[in-house]
Amino acid sequence: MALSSVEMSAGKYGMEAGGEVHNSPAPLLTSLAITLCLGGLLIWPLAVLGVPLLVYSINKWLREEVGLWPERPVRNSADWGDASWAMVWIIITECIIFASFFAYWFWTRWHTISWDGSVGGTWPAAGVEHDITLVGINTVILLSSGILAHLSGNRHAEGDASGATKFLYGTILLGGAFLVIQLYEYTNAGFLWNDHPYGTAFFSLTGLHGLHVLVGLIALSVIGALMHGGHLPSERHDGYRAVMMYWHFVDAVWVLLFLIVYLEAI
Amino acid sequence: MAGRRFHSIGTLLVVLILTALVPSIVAGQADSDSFINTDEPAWLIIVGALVAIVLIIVIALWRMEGFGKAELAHWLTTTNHKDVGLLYLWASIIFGVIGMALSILIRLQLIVPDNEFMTGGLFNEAVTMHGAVMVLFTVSPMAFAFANYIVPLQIGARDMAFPRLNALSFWTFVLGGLTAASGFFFGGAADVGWTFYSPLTSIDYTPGAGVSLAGAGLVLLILSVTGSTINFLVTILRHRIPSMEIMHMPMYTWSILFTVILMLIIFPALLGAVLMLVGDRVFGTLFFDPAIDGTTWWLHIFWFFGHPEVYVVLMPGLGMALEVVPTFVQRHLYGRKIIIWSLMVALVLSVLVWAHHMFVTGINPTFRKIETIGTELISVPFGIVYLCLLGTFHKSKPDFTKLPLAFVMGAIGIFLIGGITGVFLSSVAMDVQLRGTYYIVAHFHYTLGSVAVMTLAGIYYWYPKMFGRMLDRGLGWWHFWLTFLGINLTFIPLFGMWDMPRRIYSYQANEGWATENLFATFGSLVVFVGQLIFLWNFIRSMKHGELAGDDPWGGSTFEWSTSSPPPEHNFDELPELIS
Repeated sequence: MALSSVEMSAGKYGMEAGGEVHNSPAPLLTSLAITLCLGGLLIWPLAVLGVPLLVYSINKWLREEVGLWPERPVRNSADWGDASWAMVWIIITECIIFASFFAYWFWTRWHTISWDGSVGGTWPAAGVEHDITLVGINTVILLSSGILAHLSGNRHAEGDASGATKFLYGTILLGGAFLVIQLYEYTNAGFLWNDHPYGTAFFSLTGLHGLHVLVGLIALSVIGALMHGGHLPSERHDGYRAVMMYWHFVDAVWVLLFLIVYLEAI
Repeated sequence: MAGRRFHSIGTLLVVLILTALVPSIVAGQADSDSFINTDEPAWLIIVGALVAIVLIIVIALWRMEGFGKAELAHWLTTTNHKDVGLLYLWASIIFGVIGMALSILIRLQLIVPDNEFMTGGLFNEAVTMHGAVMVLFTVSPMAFAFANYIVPLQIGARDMAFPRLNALSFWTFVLGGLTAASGFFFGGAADVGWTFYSPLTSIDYTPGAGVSLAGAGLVLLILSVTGSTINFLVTILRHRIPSMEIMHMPMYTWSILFTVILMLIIFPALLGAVLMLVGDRVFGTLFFDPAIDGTTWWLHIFWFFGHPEVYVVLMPGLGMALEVVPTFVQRHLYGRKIIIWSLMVALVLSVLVWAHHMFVTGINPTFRKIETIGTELISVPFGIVYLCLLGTFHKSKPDFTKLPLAFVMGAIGIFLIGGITGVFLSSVAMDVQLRGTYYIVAHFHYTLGSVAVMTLAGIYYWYPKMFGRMLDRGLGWWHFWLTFLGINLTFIPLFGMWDMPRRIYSYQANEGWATENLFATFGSLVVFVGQLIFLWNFIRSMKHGELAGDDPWGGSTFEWSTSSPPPEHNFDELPELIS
């Protein structure tokens, strides 16, 4: 932990350095909104309250955060701060969530055709055909967005705000295209999640990934808005790097998913 | 400062909660005619527990001098780690009251053969929610209460790394708990056992809203835990004072580090499991379809979480004991490094042995043997920790008149019984005979009971730091003896009932279980009285306790070097590590 102690002596204790504690209603409102959204899955009117409250409270949260930044220490853009390290732990958590759904994939496959295909079921399920060309194109699109994200991060660290923004918008555009193409693939799949366990495994795995792409896009857009407002100079590269790490993780999961889910179906 | 904000936020909140609640209550009532079945005497106790909770809140607020709108707004918006810690403490006490009321219901139903105090349905709800509330919403949050308050103090930090994320975690946990428990009012709480075994949880067999609400509550809890986990990892690994190497960290901070690492590994798996369960119930997915042996799939993924969760519950209590003992025997902890490495080994082993909960499910016999050996291996590192803890007493003059040490001694005794009875259960042959009986119930209540008693030691130890006053000693000794004797009186008879199946709501007189059940119920009431005394002591001492001073116990960790309670920014002057 030598690195962290050097950094700590430089930028003491982060946000509460002045000794002043900042109260905020944003955490309470956000958790209330999350609860209402989740409750909306069971009793739909709750979501009508929850979604606007979520947008409002996250917006409030971000505005207050940005207002606090002048008090916080800045650091060299190459140094890893709390946000980047937090993202490391978040990615480990996410790996295990995906692992549980991949595990279900193999469990279902095993109970349908056994490891060597000897049990007699069909895998993928009968009548399922994936449009491998379309998915291949989509893979290229997502991986390209990863390259753009990488370039954007590099530019931002070097202090080239306009270059970083340009690549950032490119990333968002390609990520959005990926989601649109995936939706098109879903609507033309010819089967649903409740048709057979294969459908459940397929839609839950790709859907979970799609959800992560969506969250990534929201995070990238927030970064874009902050860049637009000039709130993210290269001294605050830490949060920028964290979001880019998340996007790279989403890319990497897709590669695994492509290899396991789609290649077998060719 | 916070007072002016109160009107807008408060009004918004009240409006939101009311608009959210009214339709859900209406929808819940429409679902079922059993909104509150006043024919059952047990409902009186549930309503009584709710009244008691309201009373606790009112009395606690009343004890705080000059509690008004500004203070309310402060507690709703606070992000300071000490305030969040206190909020966790109160919340877990309240969930603890709910969990205890449910356990009293269970024991009252079983007090005599052929009892008609509760229906089987309500009994199932009580058993399920007792387990879920106690394991997930009481013991772990109690650990987070102390972790929030004490860990930043012990490592010399000003606050957690992400104070707002911390507040978000707390509120999400509270709302998650309320969502899970709200099933009682929306046509019946979850009644499928806290393990939620498939296919009983499918929409065909359990159509009510209870299981789905519990699922939603669990998702919120997992979000909360994940936030806390990341927060503690970044705080502990990066916000220590520069002179504190990782091996110099106090043992309580170590135990929290182990706890959150374990949580980081297992809670996402539970999220996967709960999402699959809710998916099956709400969207008609086929995760637990019998065609692909969904029953066993649930067992694997649930117990991958469920077994290490035991260690998640144990670690913080162990950390408290490892903190309390050296302070009161005035010696260094014996074998500190060995303890740390042993706990690491236990951590790794704990995520590999989940299938010992599945010995009778027809899993591969070789796999069963591996799991038996793994489970027996886990007792080695814990045995080492146990011996190191006892070794600390060697040639010392322990002050047994101090309550925290008394509670730790009680926990050591209780844990010994829990641990030894557990070794037998790791054997497949024994487990096949004993699973699903009251022997198992007694075993895990002995292990978790020792955790609860260690946690009480932590409360007696750190209460002076949190409130600046000591807990009353006389009441404290009453609390200690009633708890210690009550736990043994409750659970020793249960070991004798190794032929009585758990989760049955009634039994016949000729089964020969009447005496044991009578003693167990009596014991549980003794524990209950003990906790009432504790609650009274807790609330009363906030105002009338003896003044504590900065370091009433002669403790050597950083939290004792600042005032009691500490200032908002924790330290006027940052402490230095002297080794």
